[in-house]
Amino acid sequence: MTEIKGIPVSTGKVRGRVKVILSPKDFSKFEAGEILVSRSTNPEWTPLLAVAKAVVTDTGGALCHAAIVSREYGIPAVVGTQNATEILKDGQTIEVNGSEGLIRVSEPEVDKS
Amino acid sequence: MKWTREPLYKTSGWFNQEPLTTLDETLRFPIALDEIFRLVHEEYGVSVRKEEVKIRNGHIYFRSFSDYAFQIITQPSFYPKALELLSELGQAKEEFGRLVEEFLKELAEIRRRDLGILSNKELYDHLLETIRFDAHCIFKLGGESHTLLHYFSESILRILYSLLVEDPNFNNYSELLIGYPNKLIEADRAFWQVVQGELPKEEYLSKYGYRATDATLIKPTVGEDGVEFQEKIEIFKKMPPPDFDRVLKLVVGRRKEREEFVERNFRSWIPFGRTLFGKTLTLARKYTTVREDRRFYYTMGTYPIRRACLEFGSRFDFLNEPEEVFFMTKYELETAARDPKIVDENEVRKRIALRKAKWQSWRKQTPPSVIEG
Repeated sequence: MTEIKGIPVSTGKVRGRVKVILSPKDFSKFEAGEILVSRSTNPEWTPLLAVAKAVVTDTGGALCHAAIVSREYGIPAVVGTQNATEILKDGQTIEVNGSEGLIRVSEPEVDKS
Repeated sequence: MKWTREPLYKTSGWFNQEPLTTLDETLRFPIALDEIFRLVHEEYGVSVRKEEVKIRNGHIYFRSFSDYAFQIITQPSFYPKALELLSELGQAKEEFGRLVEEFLKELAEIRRRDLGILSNKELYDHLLETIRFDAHCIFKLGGESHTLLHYFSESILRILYSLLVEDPNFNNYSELLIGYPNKLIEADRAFWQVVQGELPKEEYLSKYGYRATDATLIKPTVGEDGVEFQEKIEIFKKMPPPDFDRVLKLVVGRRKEREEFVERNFRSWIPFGRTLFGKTLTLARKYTTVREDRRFYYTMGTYPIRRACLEFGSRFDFLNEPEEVFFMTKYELETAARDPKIVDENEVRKRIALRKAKWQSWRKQTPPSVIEG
Protein backbone atom coordinates (compact mmCIF):
# COMPACT_ATOMS: atom_id res chain seq x y z
CA MET A 1 0.00 0.00 0.00
CA THR A 2 1.42 3.40 -0.98
CA GLU A 3 1.47 6.07 1.69
CA ILE A 4 2.02 9.77 1.11
CA LYS A 5 2.84 12.08 3.98
CA GLY A 6 2.00 15.74 4.22
CA ILE A 7 0.99 18.39 6.70
CA PRO A 8 -2.35 17.76 8.44
CA VAL A 9 -4.34 20.98 8.25
CA SER A 10 -8.00 20.03 8.46
CA THR A 11 -9.04 17.08 10.57
CA GLY A 12 -11.19 14.10 9.61
CA LYS A 13 -10.76 10.88 7.64
CA VAL A 14 -12.53 9.99 4.39
CA ARG A 15 -12.18 7.57 1.49
CA GLY A 16 -12.92 8.64 -2.02
CA ARG A 17 -11.97 8.85 -5.67
CA VAL A 18 -9.02 10.97 -6.81
CA LYS A 19 -9.26 13.76 -9.36
CA VAL A 20 -6.04 15.58 -10.16
CA ILE A 21 -6.74 19.16 -11.19
CA LEU A 22 -3.73 21.17 -12.29
CA SER A 23 -5.39 24.38 -13.47
CA PRO A 24 -8.82 26.02 -13.59
CA LYS A 25 -9.04 24.79 -17.17
CA ASP A 26 -9.53 21.27 -15.75
CA PHE A 27 -12.43 22.23 -13.46
CA SER A 28 -14.93 20.63 -15.82
CA LYS A 29 -13.36 17.22 -15.15
CA PHE A 30 -14.20 17.42 -11.47
CA GLU A 31 -17.29 15.74 -10.08
CA ALA A 32 -18.84 16.68 -6.75
CA GLY A 33 -17.77 14.27 -4.00
CA GLU A 34 -14.35 13.50 -5.47
CA ILE A 35 -11.06 14.13 -3.69
CA LEU A 36 -9.33 17.19 -5.12
CA VAL A 37 -5.61 16.68 -5.70
CA SER A 38 -3.72 19.79 -6.90
CA ARG A 39 -0.40 21.57 -6.73
CA SER A 40 -1.98 24.41 -4.76
CA THR A 41 -5.26 26.28 -4.67
CA ASN A 42 -6.06 29.97 -4.88
CA PRO A 43 -9.21 32.08 -4.44
CA GLU A 44 -10.33 31.04 -7.93
CA TRP A 45 -10.56 27.45 -6.73
CA THR A 46 -12.71 27.82 -3.62
CA PRO A 47 -16.08 27.00 -5.25
CA LEU A 48 -14.55 23.61 -6.08
CA LEU A 49 -13.54 23.04 -2.48
CA ALA A 50 -17.16 23.53 -1.50
CA VAL A 51 -18.14 20.33 -3.33
CA ALA A 52 -14.96 18.27 -2.76
CA LYS A 53 -14.81 15.41 -0.30
CA ALA A 54 -11.22 16.18 0.74
CA VAL A 55 -8.22 18.16 -0.48
CA VAL A 56 -4.61 17.11 -1.07
CA THR A 57 -1.98 19.57 -2.33
CA ASP A 58 1.72 19.45 -3.22
CA THR A 59 2.58 22.76 -1.56
CA GLY A 60 1.28 24.72 1.41
CA GLY A 61 1.33 24.85 5.18
CA ALA A 62 -1.05 25.34 8.10
CA LEU A 63 -2.04 28.81 6.96
CA CYS A 64 -2.25 28.31 3.22
CA HIS A 65 -5.40 28.94 1.23
CA ALA A 66 -6.42 25.26 0.93
CA ALA A 67 -6.00 24.79 4.69
CA ILE A 68 -8.10 27.78 5.65
CA VAL A 69 -10.96 27.04 3.30
CA SER A 70 -11.12 23.29 3.87
CA ARG A 71 -11.32 23.84 7.64
CA GLU A 72 -14.33 26.09 7.13
CA TYR A 73 -15.93 23.52 4.82
CA GLY A 74 -15.28 20.76 7.35
CA ILE A 75 -13.44 18.55 4.87
CA PRO A 76 -10.14 16.76 5.60
CA ALA A 77 -7.06 18.31 4.02
CA VAL A 78 -3.42 17.33 3.74
CA VAL A 79 -1.06 19.89 2.20
CA GLY A 80 2.67 20.10 1.45
CA THR A 81 2.93 16.51 0.18
CA GLN A 82 5.55 17.65 -2.39
CA ASN A 83 4.46 15.25 -5.12
CA ALA A 84 0.89 13.97 -4.64
CA THR A 85 -0.08 15.24 -8.10
CA GLU A 86 2.61 13.01 -9.61
CA ILE A 87 1.91 9.91 -7.53
CA LEU A 88 -1.88 9.92 -7.48
CA LYS A 89 -3.90 9.21 -10.62
CA ASP A 90 -7.48 9.99 -11.57
CA GLY A 91 -9.94 7.35 -10.43
CA GLN A 92 -7.79 5.81 -7.69
CA THR A 93 -9.46 5.26 -4.35
CA ILE A 94 -7.55 6.82 -1.49
CA GLU A 95 -8.01 7.49 2.19
CA VAL A 96 -7.22 11.01 3.33
CA ASN A 97 -6.44 11.37 7.01
CA GLY A 98 -6.47 15.10 7.71
CA SER A 99 -5.68 14.58 11.37
CA GLU A 100 -2.42 12.72 10.79
CA GLY A 101 -1.42 14.11 7.40
CA LEU A 102 -1.51 10.71 5.71
CA ILE A 103 -2.84 9.59 2.36
CA ARG A 104 -3.22 5.86 1.79
CA VAL A 105 -3.68 4.55 -1.72
CA SER A 106 -5.85 1.49 -1.43
CA GLU A 107 -6.55 0.78 -5.06
CA PRO A 108 -4.26 0.66 -8.05
CA GLU A 109 -4.63 3.16 -10.85
CA VAL A 110 -7.81 2.70 -12.82
CA ASP A 111 -7.32 1.95 -16.47
CA LYS A 112 -9.78 4.26 -18.17
CA SER A 113 -9.32 2.93 -21.67
CA MET B 1 24.22 31.54 -0.04
CA LYS B 2 20.96 29.57 -0.23
CA TRP B 3 17.68 31.06 -1.39
CA THR B 4 14.34 29.36 -0.95
CA ARG B 5 10.72 29.50 -2.10
CA GLU B 6 9.67 27.69 1.08
CA PRO B 7 7.93 30.69 2.76
CA LEU B 8 5.76 31.06 -0.34
CA TYR B 9 5.02 27.34 -0.60
CA LYS B 10 3.98 27.20 3.03
CA THR B 11 1.72 30.20 3.29
CA SER B 12 0.64 31.20 -0.20
CA GLY B 13 1.33 28.33 -2.56
CA TRP B 14 -0.78 30.04 -5.21
CA PHE B 15 1.21 33.27 -5.17
CA ASN B 16 3.89 33.47 -7.91
CA GLN B 17 2.87 30.25 -9.68
CA GLU B 18 3.23 32.15 -12.94
CA PRO B 19 6.63 33.83 -13.41
CA LEU B 20 6.86 37.60 -13.04
CA THR B 21 7.13 39.62 -16.24
CA THR B 22 9.72 42.29 -17.09
CA LEU B 23 7.49 45.10 -15.83
CA ASP B 24 6.71 43.22 -12.59
CA GLU B 25 10.40 42.72 -12.02
CA THR B 26 11.72 46.15 -12.95
CA LEU B 27 8.89 48.45 -11.88
CA ARG B 28 6.23 47.04 -9.62
CA PHE B 29 8.30 44.73 -7.46
CA PRO B 30 11.16 47.17 -6.61
CA ILE B 31 8.77 50.03 -5.83
CA ALA B 32 6.52 47.80 -3.73
CA LEU B 33 9.52 46.39 -1.83
CA ASP B 34 10.89 49.88 -1.16
CA GLU B 35 7.54 50.92 0.25
CA ILE B 36 7.15 47.79 2.37
CA PHE B 37 10.70 48.04 3.76
CA ARG B 38 10.15 51.72 4.51
CA LEU B 39 7.05 50.77 6.51
CA VAL B 40 8.89 47.94 8.26
CA HIS B 41 11.45 50.49 9.37
CA GLU B 42 8.75 52.93 10.48
CA GLU B 43 6.72 50.29 12.32
CA TYR B 44 9.38 48.03 13.78
CA GLY B 45 12.43 50.28 13.82
CA VAL B 46 14.52 47.84 11.79
CA SER B 47 16.16 48.08 8.39
CA VAL B 48 15.81 45.36 5.77
CA ARG B 49 17.88 45.49 2.60
CA LYS B 50 16.34 45.06 -0.82
CA GLU B 51 18.91 42.36 -1.55
CA GLU B 52 17.12 40.10 0.92
CA VAL B 53 14.77 39.01 -1.83
CA LYS B 54 15.86 37.51 -5.14
CA ILE B 55 14.04 36.95 -8.42
CA ARG B 56 15.26 34.25 -10.77
CA ASN B 57 13.48 33.37 -14.00
CA GLY B 58 10.45 35.27 -12.76
CA HIS B 59 10.24 33.40 -9.46
CA ILE B 60 10.68 34.98 -6.04
CA TYR B 61 13.18 33.57 -3.56
CA PHE B 62 13.83 34.44 0.07
CA ARG B 63 16.48 33.72 2.65
CA SER B 64 15.42 31.46 5.50
CA PHE B 65 13.10 32.93 8.13
CA SER B 66 15.78 32.46 10.79
CA ASP B 67 18.12 34.74 8.79
CA TYR B 68 15.48 37.47 8.76
CA ALA B 69 14.66 36.94 12.44
CA PHE B 70 18.37 37.17 13.33
CA GLN B 71 18.66 40.36 11.31
CA ILE B 72 15.75 41.86 13.24
CA ILE B 73 16.70 40.84 16.77
CA THR B 74 20.26 42.08 16.34
CA GLN B 75 19.05 45.63 15.70
CA PRO B 76 18.67 47.41 19.08
CA SER B 77 16.14 49.86 17.62
CA PHE B 78 13.67 46.96 17.38
CA TYR B 79 13.08 46.64 21.13
CA PRO B 80 11.46 49.99 21.99
CA LYS B 81 9.20 49.62 18.93
CA ALA B 82 8.25 46.07 19.95
CA LEU B 83 7.17 47.33 23.38
CA GLU B 84 5.14 50.08 21.71
CA LEU B 85 3.46 47.48 19.52
CA LEU B 86 2.57 45.25 22.44
CA SER B 87 0.71 48.12 24.06
CA GLU B 88 -1.39 48.50 20.90
CA LEU B 89 -2.42 44.86 20.63
CA GLY B 90 -5.63 45.33 22.60
CA GLN B 91 -7.12 47.49 19.85
CA ALA B 92 -5.76 45.43 16.96
CA LYS B 93 -9.07 44.02 15.73
CA GLU B 94 -10.76 47.43 15.73
CA GLU B 95 -7.69 48.85 13.99
CA PHE B 96 -7.99 46.19 11.29
CA GLY B 97 -11.64 47.13 10.71
CA ARG B 98 -10.68 50.78 10.39
CA LEU B 99 -7.88 49.98 7.94
CA VAL B 100 -10.18 47.87 5.76
CA GLU B 101 -12.73 50.65 5.64
CA GLU B 102 -10.08 53.20 4.60
CA PHE B 103 -8.58 50.80 2.08
CA LEU B 104 -11.91 50.06 0.38
CA LYS B 105 -12.77 53.75 0.22
CA GLU B 106 -9.49 54.70 -1.39
CA LEU B 107 -9.58 51.69 -3.70
CA ALA B 108 -13.04 52.68 -4.94
CA GLU B 109 -11.74 56.18 -5.69
CA ILE B 110 -8.76 54.85 -7.64
CA ARG B 111 -11.02 52.54 -9.64
CA ARG B 112 -13.42 55.35 -10.45
CA ARG B 113 -10.66 57.54 -11.89
CA ASP B 114 -10.97 58.04 -15.65
CA LEU B 115 -7.50 57.13 -16.90
CA GLY B 116 -8.33 58.09 -20.48
CA ILE B 117 -8.19 61.82 -19.70
CA LEU B 118 -4.77 61.70 -18.04
CA SER B 119 -1.64 62.80 -19.91
CA ASN B 120 1.16 60.24 -20.15
CA LYS B 121 3.02 61.95 -17.35
CA GLU B 122 -0.06 62.03 -15.14
CA LEU B 123 -0.77 58.40 -15.95
CA TYR B 124 2.79 57.40 -15.04
CA ASP B 125 2.53 59.25 -11.71
CA HIS B 126 -0.82 57.57 -11.11
CA LEU B 127 0.76 54.17 -11.81
CA LEU B 128 3.55 54.76 -9.29
CA GLU B 129 1.09 56.03 -6.68
CA THR B 130 -1.13 52.98 -7.17
CA ILE B 131 1.81 50.59 -6.76
CA ARG B 132 2.76 52.36 -3.53
CA PHE B 133 -0.86 52.31 -2.34
CA ASP B 134 -1.07 48.55 -2.96
CA ALA B 135 2.22 47.90 -1.14
CA HIS B 136 1.08 50.10 1.72
CA CYS B 137 -2.14 48.10 2.05
CA ILE B 138 -0.34 44.75 1.86
CA PHE B 139 1.84 45.84 4.74
CA LYS B 140 -0.91 47.47 6.78
CA LEU B 141 -3.35 44.57 6.33
CA GLY B 142 -0.72 41.85 6.57
CA GLY B 143 2.20 43.09 8.65
CA GLU B 144 0.70 45.24 11.39
CA SER B 145 0.04 44.36 15.00
CA HIS B 146 -3.28 42.59 14.27
CA THR B 147 -1.41 40.13 12.07
CA LEU B 148 1.21 39.54 14.71
CA LEU B 149 -1.53 38.97 17.21
CA HIS B 150 -3.16 36.22 15.20
CA TYR B 151 0.17 34.43 14.69
CA PHE B 152 1.01 34.94 18.33
CA SER B 153 -2.35 33.86 19.77
CA GLU B 154 -2.70 30.83 17.49
CA SER B 155 0.87 29.65 18.13
CA ILE B 156 0.42 29.97 21.90
CA LEU B 157 -2.93 28.15 21.68
CA ARG B 158 -1.25 25.31 19.81
CA ILE B 159 1.47 25.00 22.45
CA LEU B 160 -1.04 25.20 25.32
CA TYR B 161 -3.25 22.56 23.66
CA SER B 162 -0.31 20.15 23.44
CA LEU B 163 0.61 20.78 27.09
CA LEU B 164 -2.79 21.00 28.73
CA VAL B 165 -5.07 18.69 26.74
CA GLU B 166 -4.77 14.92 26.81
CA ASP B 167 -4.76 14.45 23.04
CA PRO B 168 -2.01 12.62 21.13
CA ASN B 169 -2.80 14.73 18.06
CA PHE B 170 -2.31 18.36 18.99
CA ASN B 171 -3.22 19.50 15.47
CA ASN B 172 -6.79 19.06 16.65
CA TYR B 173 -6.47 22.45 18.32
CA SER B 174 -7.46 23.93 14.94
CA GLU B 175 -11.01 22.59 15.41
CA LEU B 176 -11.45 25.13 18.19
CA LEU B 177 -11.08 27.89 15.60
CA ILE B 178 -13.48 26.74 12.89
CA GLY B 179 -17.02 27.85 12.12
CA TYR B 180 -16.29 31.56 11.81
CA PRO B 181 -17.14 32.31 8.17
CA ASN B 182 -14.76 34.71 6.46
CA LYS B 183 -14.71 36.78 3.28
CA LEU B 184 -13.45 33.88 1.16
CA ILE B 185 -16.46 31.78 2.12
CA GLU B 186 -18.76 34.78 1.62
CA ALA B 187 -17.40 35.15 -1.94
CA ASP B 188 -17.90 31.43 -2.61
CA ARG B 189 -21.44 31.54 -1.42
CA ALA B 190 -22.12 34.50 -3.68
CA PHE B 191 -20.53 32.66 -6.62
CA TRP B 192 -22.84 29.67 -6.11
CA GLN B 193 -25.78 32.08 -5.99
CA VAL B 194 -24.67 33.33 -9.44
CA VAL B 195 -24.47 29.74 -10.66
CA GLN B 196 -28.03 29.11 -9.47
CA GLY B 197 -29.28 32.36 -10.99
CA GLU B 198 -30.04 33.92 -7.61
CA LEU B 199 -27.52 36.75 -7.91
CA PRO B 200 -26.73 38.89 -10.98
CA LYS B 201 -23.28 38.17 -12.35
CA GLU B 202 -22.40 41.88 -12.41
CA GLU B 203 -23.17 42.26 -8.72
CA TYR B 204 -20.87 39.36 -7.87
CA LEU B 205 -18.08 40.66 -10.10
CA SER B 206 -18.15 44.21 -8.76
CA LYS B 207 -17.84 42.94 -5.19
CA TYR B 208 -15.60 39.91 -5.52
CA GLY B 209 -14.40 39.65 -9.10
CA TYR B 210 -11.38 41.95 -9.19
CA ARG B 211 -9.01 40.00 -6.94
CA ALA B 212 -5.58 38.90 -8.10
CA THR B 213 -5.01 35.18 -8.32
CA ASP B 214 -1.27 35.44 -8.80
CA ALA B 215 1.57 37.87 -8.16
CA THR B 216 2.11 38.83 -11.78
CA LEU B 217 0.31 41.77 -13.33
CA ILE B 218 -0.18 39.93 -16.61
CA LYS B 219 -2.83 37.60 -15.21
CA PRO B 220 -6.29 39.14 -15.62
CA THR B 221 -8.74 39.04 -12.75
CA VAL B 222 -11.97 37.07 -13.10
CA GLY B 223 -13.94 40.29 -13.51
CA GLU B 224 -11.96 41.30 -16.59
CA ASP B 225 -12.35 38.05 -18.46
CA GLY B 226 -16.07 37.73 -19.04
CA VAL B 227 -15.80 34.67 -21.29
CA GLU B 228 -13.78 32.66 -18.80
CA PHE B 229 -16.15 33.59 -15.99
CA GLN B 230 -19.16 32.48 -18.01
CA GLU B 231 -17.41 29.18 -18.82
CA LYS B 232 -16.77 28.68 -15.13
CA ILE B 233 -20.44 29.27 -14.34
CA GLU B 234 -21.41 26.64 -16.96
CA ILE B 235 -19.03 24.10 -15.40
CA PHE B 236 -20.42 24.61 -11.93
CA LYS B 237 -24.01 24.46 -13.17
CA LYS B 238 -23.43 20.74 -13.76
CA MET B 239 -22.53 20.18 -10.08
CA PRO B 240 -24.99 19.90 -7.21
CA PRO B 241 -24.82 23.19 -5.25
CA PRO B 242 -23.39 22.94 -1.75
CA ASP B 243 -25.68 23.54 1.20
CA PHE B 244 -23.70 26.25 2.97
CA ASP B 245 -26.04 26.46 5.98
CA ARG B 246 -25.76 22.72 6.59
CA VAL B 247 -21.96 22.88 6.24
CA LEU B 248 -21.72 25.76 8.70
CA LYS B 249 -23.93 23.92 11.18
CA LEU B 250 -21.77 20.83 10.80
CA VAL B 251 -18.56 22.78 11.32
CA VAL B 252 -19.91 24.62 14.35
CA GLY B 253 -21.03 21.23 15.70
CA ARG B 254 -17.52 19.91 15.22
CA ARG B 255 -16.10 22.89 17.10
CA LYS B 256 -18.51 22.24 19.99
CA GLU B 257 -17.50 18.57 20.06
CA ARG B 258 -13.86 19.64 20.30
CA GLU B 259 -14.72 22.04 23.13
CA GLU B 260 -16.38 19.18 25.01
CA PHE B 261 -13.38 16.96 24.30
CA VAL B 262 -11.08 19.62 25.76
CA GLU B 263 -13.32 19.92 28.79
CA ARG B 264 -13.20 16.15 29.39
CA ASN B 265 -9.49 15.78 28.76
CA PHE B 266 -8.06 18.88 30.35
CA ARG B 267 -5.06 18.38 32.59
CA SER B 268 -6.59 20.50 35.32
CA TRP B 269 -3.80 19.87 37.83
CA ILE B 270 -1.64 22.49 36.13
CA PRO B 271 -2.07 25.78 38.06
CA PHE B 272 -3.78 28.57 36.12
CA GLY B 273 -3.87 26.30 33.06
CA ARG B 274 -7.59 26.65 32.48
CA THR B 275 -7.55 30.44 32.80
CA LEU B 276 -4.56 30.77 30.51
CA PHE B 277 -6.05 28.40 27.94
CA GLY B 278 -9.44 30.13 28.03
CA LYS B 279 -7.93 33.60 27.58
CA THR B 280 -5.71 32.48 24.71
CA LEU B 281 -8.61 30.74 22.99
CA THR B 282 -10.79 33.84 23.23
CA LEU B 283 -8.00 35.94 21.73
CA ALA B 284 -7.25 33.45 18.94
CA ARG B 285 -10.95 33.26 18.04
CA LYS B 286 -11.24 37.02 17.96
CA TYR B 287 -8.51 37.11 15.32
CA THR B 288 -9.48 34.06 13.26
CA THR B 289 -11.54 36.07 10.80
CA VAL B 290 -8.86 38.80 10.64
CA ARG B 291 -6.32 36.18 9.62
CA GLU B 292 -8.48 35.01 6.79
CA ASP B 293 -10.11 38.24 5.69
CA ARG B 294 -6.83 40.09 5.16
CA ARG B 295 -5.95 37.70 2.32
CA PHE B 296 -9.21 38.60 0.65
CA TYR B 297 -8.51 42.31 0.83
CA TYR B 298 -4.92 42.44 -0.17
CA THR B 299 -5.52 40.68 -3.44
CA MET B 300 -7.69 43.64 -4.49
CA GLY B 301 -4.92 46.19 -5.05
CA THR B 302 -3.42 44.53 -8.12
CA TYR B 303 -6.24 45.28 -10.54
CA PRO B 304 -5.89 49.11 -10.50
CA ILE B 305 -2.14 48.72 -11.24
CA ARG B 306 -2.92 46.39 -14.11
CA ARG B 307 -5.49 48.82 -15.43
CA ALA B 308 -3.00 51.70 -15.51
CA CYS B 309 -0.41 49.52 -17.29
CA LEU B 310 -2.95 48.44 -19.90
CA GLU B 311 -3.92 52.05 -20.48
CA PHE B 312 -0.29 52.69 -21.43
CA GLY B 313 -0.37 49.52 -23.53
CA SER B 314 -3.29 50.84 -25.54
CA ARG B 315 -1.52 54.18 -26.10
CA PHE B 316 1.75 52.79 -27.46
CA ASP B 317 1.38 52.12 -31.18
CA PHE B 318 4.59 50.12 -31.30
CA LEU B 319 3.01 47.30 -29.27
CA ASN B 320 1.15 44.50 -31.08
CA GLU B 321 -1.33 44.29 -28.21
CA PRO B 322 -1.77 46.25 -24.95
CA GLU B 323 -0.63 43.23 -22.86
CA GLU B 324 2.87 43.58 -24.34
CA VAL B 325 3.36 46.51 -21.99
CA PHE B 326 4.12 43.91 -19.30
CA PHE B 327 7.28 43.00 -21.21
CA MET B 328 8.69 46.54 -21.20
CA THR B 329 11.23 47.62 -18.60
CA LYS B 330 10.65 50.47 -16.19
CA TYR B 331 13.14 52.57 -18.17
CA GLU B 332 11.42 51.87 -21.50
CA LEU B 333 8.01 52.68 -20.05
CA GLU B 334 9.29 55.88 -18.48
CA THR B 335 10.93 56.94 -21.75
CA ALA B 336 7.87 56.12 -23.86
CA ALA B 337 5.61 57.91 -21.37
CA ARG B 338 7.80 61.01 -21.59
CA ASP B 339 7.84 61.04 -25.39
CA PRO B 340 6.69 58.03 -27.44
CA LYS B 341 8.45 59.52 -30.52
CA ILE B 342 11.95 58.97 -29.12
CA VAL B 343 11.36 55.23 -28.77
CA ASP B 344 13.24 53.10 -31.28
CA GLU B 345 10.16 51.06 -32.18
CA ASN B 346 11.90 48.22 -34.00
CA GLU B 347 14.45 47.81 -31.26
CA VAL B 348 11.80 47.75 -28.49
CA ARG B 349 9.62 45.33 -30.48
CA LYS B 350 12.56 42.96 -30.88
CA ARG B 351 13.40 43.09 -27.18
CA ILE B 352 9.77 42.53 -26.18
CA ALA B 353 9.51 39.48 -28.45
CA LEU B 354 12.65 38.02 -26.88
CA ARG B 355 11.46 38.63 -23.32
CA LYS B 356 8.05 37.21 -24.08
CA ALA B 357 9.59 34.02 -25.50
CA LYS B 358 11.80 33.67 -22.44
CA TRP B 359 8.82 34.19 -20.11
CA GLN B 360 6.81 31.57 -22.01
CA SER B 361 9.66 29.09 -21.52
CA TRP B 362 9.81 29.86 -17.76
CA ARG B 363 6.09 29.15 -17.52
CA LYS B 364 6.69 25.58 -18.66
CA GLN B 365 9.35 24.94 -16.02
CA THR B 366 8.84 24.09 -12.37
CA PRO B 367 11.08 26.46 -10.41
CA PRO B 368 13.54 24.76 -8.04
CA SER B 369 12.53 25.27 -4.41
CA VAL B 370 16.10 26.14 -3.39
CA ILE B 371 18.81 27.94 -5.37
CA GLU B 372 22.39 29.02 -4.64
CA GLY B 373 23.82 32.39 -5.46
